[in-house]
Amino acid sequence: MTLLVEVMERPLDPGYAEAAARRQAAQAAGRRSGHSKAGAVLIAVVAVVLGLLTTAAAQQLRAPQESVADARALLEEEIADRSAQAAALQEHAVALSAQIEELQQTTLASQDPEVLDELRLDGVVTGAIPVTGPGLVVTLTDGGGLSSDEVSSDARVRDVDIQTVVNALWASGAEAISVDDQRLTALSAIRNAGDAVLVDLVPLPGPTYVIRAIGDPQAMQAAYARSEAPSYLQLLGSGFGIQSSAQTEDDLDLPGVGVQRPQYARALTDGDDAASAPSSILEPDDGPTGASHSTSSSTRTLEGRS
Amino acid sequence: MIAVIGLMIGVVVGLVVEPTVPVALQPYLPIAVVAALDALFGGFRAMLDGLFNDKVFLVSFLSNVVVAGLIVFLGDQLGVGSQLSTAVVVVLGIRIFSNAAAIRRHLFKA
Repeated sequence: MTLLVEVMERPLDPGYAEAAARRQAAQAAGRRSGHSKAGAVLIAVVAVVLGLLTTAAAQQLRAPQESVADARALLEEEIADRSAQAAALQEHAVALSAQIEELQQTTLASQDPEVLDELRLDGVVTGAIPVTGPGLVVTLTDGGGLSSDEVSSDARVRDVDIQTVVNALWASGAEAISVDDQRLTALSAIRNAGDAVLVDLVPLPGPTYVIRAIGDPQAMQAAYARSEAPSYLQLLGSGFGIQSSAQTEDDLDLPGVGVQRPQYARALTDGDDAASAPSSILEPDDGPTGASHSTSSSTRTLEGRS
Repeated sequence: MIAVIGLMIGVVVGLVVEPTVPVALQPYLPIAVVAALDALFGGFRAMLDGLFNDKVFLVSFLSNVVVAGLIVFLGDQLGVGSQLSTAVVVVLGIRIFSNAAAIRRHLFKA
């Protein structure tokens, strides 16, 4: 303890006091105090060197942080660039599929109106074209209020939560579903990457997730209420503060994703053997996306979340 | 005063030239800078007390930096480098604080 007391009570180097006392004694004795010329030069040189070294050290300590910041800025720029690129390409794809649709319509309207109707119906079912109609809107909001900075990852909406709701909606008779503005198709995946939820590899901004489903509002609401989703959401609400709501809407507009070409699956031609049909109509797709209602990249139990 | 002016010249030259420190010395830089800060505050307080002395200032500056670096080096060899760095930072930090308090009393009379 004496050491600490010493440090606390006498922070000034005792050398200063001793030097002052020596100077006073010298003055009392009548001698002239001060430095010789050589001493002054030495002091100046040592001082310059010390200042130089300290500055060098301080700069060296600051340098790596600058490079980290640079790298971070570069990465941010790259992410923004690539996102813009992806958005532009997506826009291009949508424009092209609109063009295809238009050409199809002009060709088929004159030749074979029946095929045209069939195509449009297929587009609705596969999610290729935008659709509108009445339906149900389910909203999930991260727990911990809207300030997303200090929300713990447990209180965030996760892929499993959205998958549960989506599955319940499909089971309740939904004909088309979108999560935020991503239309779900047979090839859609809802997954977690870190704390973010991705639908078809597009991150959803959060903290509120809007799931819109088109179908018979009354029948769907009743069937949804009987499914396991509402009780699951209630559990999330009481356990983690995740807010949810479900209400019917008269008019919902869901976007389309454009034409998706299967890479491996081929349609059966008429000449094929009918017996082999079940196994060869659709070969399993091992691509980056999987069916939304069956794949789940992360699983969790409610107990393990707290 | 020569020491202070010399130190300033050194700082300016360092800022302009931007010399690099050998990699082997880099672990000791944070401690060295804290020790230099302690000496700076001590010198400033001595100046306000009317006790300032070029030689004492420079010697305390140099020895602070060297001893702090040596302690950390020794700690690294013994496997307690981070603990010893903490000890040095605590002691020097307390000194800086008390000197800063004395300077504050001098300047603001409060």
